[in-house]
Amino acid sequence: MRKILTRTRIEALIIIVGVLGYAWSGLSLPPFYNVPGVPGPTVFPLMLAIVMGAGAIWLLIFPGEDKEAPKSPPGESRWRRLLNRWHFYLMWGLLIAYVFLLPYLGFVVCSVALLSALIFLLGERRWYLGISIALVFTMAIYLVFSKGLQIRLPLGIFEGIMR
Amino acid sequence: MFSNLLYGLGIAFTPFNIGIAFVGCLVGTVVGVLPGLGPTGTIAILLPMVFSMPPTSAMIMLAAVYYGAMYGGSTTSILVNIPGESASVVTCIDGHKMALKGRAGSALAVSAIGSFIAGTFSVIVLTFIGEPVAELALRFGPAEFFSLFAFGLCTVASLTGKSVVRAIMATVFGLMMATVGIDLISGAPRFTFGNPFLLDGIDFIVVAIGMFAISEVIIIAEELKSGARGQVIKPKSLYISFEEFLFSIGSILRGTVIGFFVGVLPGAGATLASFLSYDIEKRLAKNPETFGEGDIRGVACPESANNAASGGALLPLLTLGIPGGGATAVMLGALMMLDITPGPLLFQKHAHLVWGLIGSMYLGNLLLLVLNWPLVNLFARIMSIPARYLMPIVLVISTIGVWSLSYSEMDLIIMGVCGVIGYYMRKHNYPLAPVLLGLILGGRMEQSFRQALIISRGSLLTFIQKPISLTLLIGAVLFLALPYLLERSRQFRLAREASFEEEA
Repeated sequence: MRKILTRTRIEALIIIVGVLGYAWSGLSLPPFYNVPGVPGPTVFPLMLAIVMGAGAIWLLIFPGEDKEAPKSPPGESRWRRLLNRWHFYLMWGLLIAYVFLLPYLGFVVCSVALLSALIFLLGERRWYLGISIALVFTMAIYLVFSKGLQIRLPLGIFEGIMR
Repeated sequence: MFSNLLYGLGIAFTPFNIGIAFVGCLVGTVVGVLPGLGPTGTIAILLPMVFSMPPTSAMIMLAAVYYGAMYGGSTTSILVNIPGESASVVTCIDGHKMALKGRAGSALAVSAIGSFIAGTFSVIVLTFIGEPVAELALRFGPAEFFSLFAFGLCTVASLTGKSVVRAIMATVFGLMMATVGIDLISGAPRFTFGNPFLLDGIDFIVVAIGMFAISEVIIIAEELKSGARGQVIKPKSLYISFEEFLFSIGSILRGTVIGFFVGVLPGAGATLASFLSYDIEKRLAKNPETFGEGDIRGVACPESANNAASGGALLPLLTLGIPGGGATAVMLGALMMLDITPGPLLFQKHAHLVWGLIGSMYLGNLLLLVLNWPLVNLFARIMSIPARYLMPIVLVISTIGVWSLSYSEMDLIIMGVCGVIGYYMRKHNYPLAPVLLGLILGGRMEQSFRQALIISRGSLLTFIQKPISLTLLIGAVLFLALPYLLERSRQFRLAREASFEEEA
């Protein structure tokens, strides 16, 4: 049986909702920005919304063939498959944590942690080597950017010691 | 003309600018050699570091990274059978076969010489026709400029990726991001949701680093788990016989000319140039069956074409302010951040920058010949740096690059979000270069659209009443139809699919 709600169609529906939100937000500008006879700030966004909407509707009608899902051994459940990709999700998790924590914990702590974790996740099993590389490169990047290029890096908990 | 060139050489040959050009060429070659990491991401990461330099030096360095990557790309194609750049995909076919037959030296030599001839040719053409083209473009009014932007964006959408609809949507997504912030004509804050941070709009560097660098690192990391890198073949000698050189010189020259003209076209870029020139060369050959079996012409032609194309792409960038792909789009953005308005007035108002850049390209090509021919073994060793160390470091440097722009947490969050979106788009056949192009050109495109309508008192007919504007719009429509017309051409399809990965 052919699947109706394919991944492309779900994608198209999400885009349509996004476009409607964009158009609504674009149109809800206070009217005093519009001068009669002159194309106002809403014209161009509206054109874009129409083109994007048309593209999404096209995908909804002609979604094409979805890429086959990665082959998994028979009997393997969806959850099992997700679990097998834990490296990948952890990598994203680490990246997001890095971005959020960088301004608070500081460059040195966050970068040493991120680098060691990623190097380990990407297959380096000698933990002492991974941590040493992380330490050396963090300090090298710190020196180049902070001292060489005069970029103010957040130091977080090391604020007092390193300045 | 010659006085301008001498003026440019004078600027390029100061010790600082020579040093900067050398660093740019070196970084470009390294980036070209490393599979995955491409010029767009690298230029974006380098941007925050070059802002403290004088604008001319900054552009000399960024351009050197861009055309240097084309030189480096062939090394891994030939020695490992992994293209360093998408523009070197075709070089793998004959280049690696030559290496397997013990002729790696000839392949590397012909690719370095071909690249040098093509690179120098494109700078010479740029020197002579740059200014006249810019003068022609001075006659453009807002309507013509709007149509030119539309043409540029349509060619990009038509020539990158597997699906035109998805490429158009990617372009519009970029244009939509460009509408965030204060509208320059009316002063209205648009799509800011009350967040004062968004009043200035979305910074293209943050988007470029997020979409190109971050998503690329994650993708490489993901692939790292599944596949091993190939075996590096060590070339015995690095020389090419005179007979072999004579045999391939025709291919070099043809590749150069084809590459330059394809490169000038917005969106076409180096990948398409190399595919197209390989195809034409094969058709012209008396014995096409030797192609694919280690024919030296199969290396000479695409390698010359991709270098000529990267030089050619600078022509619309410098004269019209229209970038041809991801890397040139970031360079255009860099110009804008350096407070320089790109467009036809660049040659008049910033002669120092334009001629300094052109002058430096003569030097750059010479430097690259030295780096990529005698020193090629040194660069081939870069392949042995484990990606598991390199990629996390790239990630940290990218994040610091974004942080340094305005020391803002919001930038970091936008970078992360763009990384996720970029990853999804790459995985699901949405090309990324059009997003960047849309974001960078969006502001100027909207401005010229509205200015044209103000002049015509709201009549949309103005876009088809002006001959240049009409021609450009017809060209845009034709380009969008091209993938459907050429659906059966396998080469064309392959080229488009390869450009999907272009300049990441």
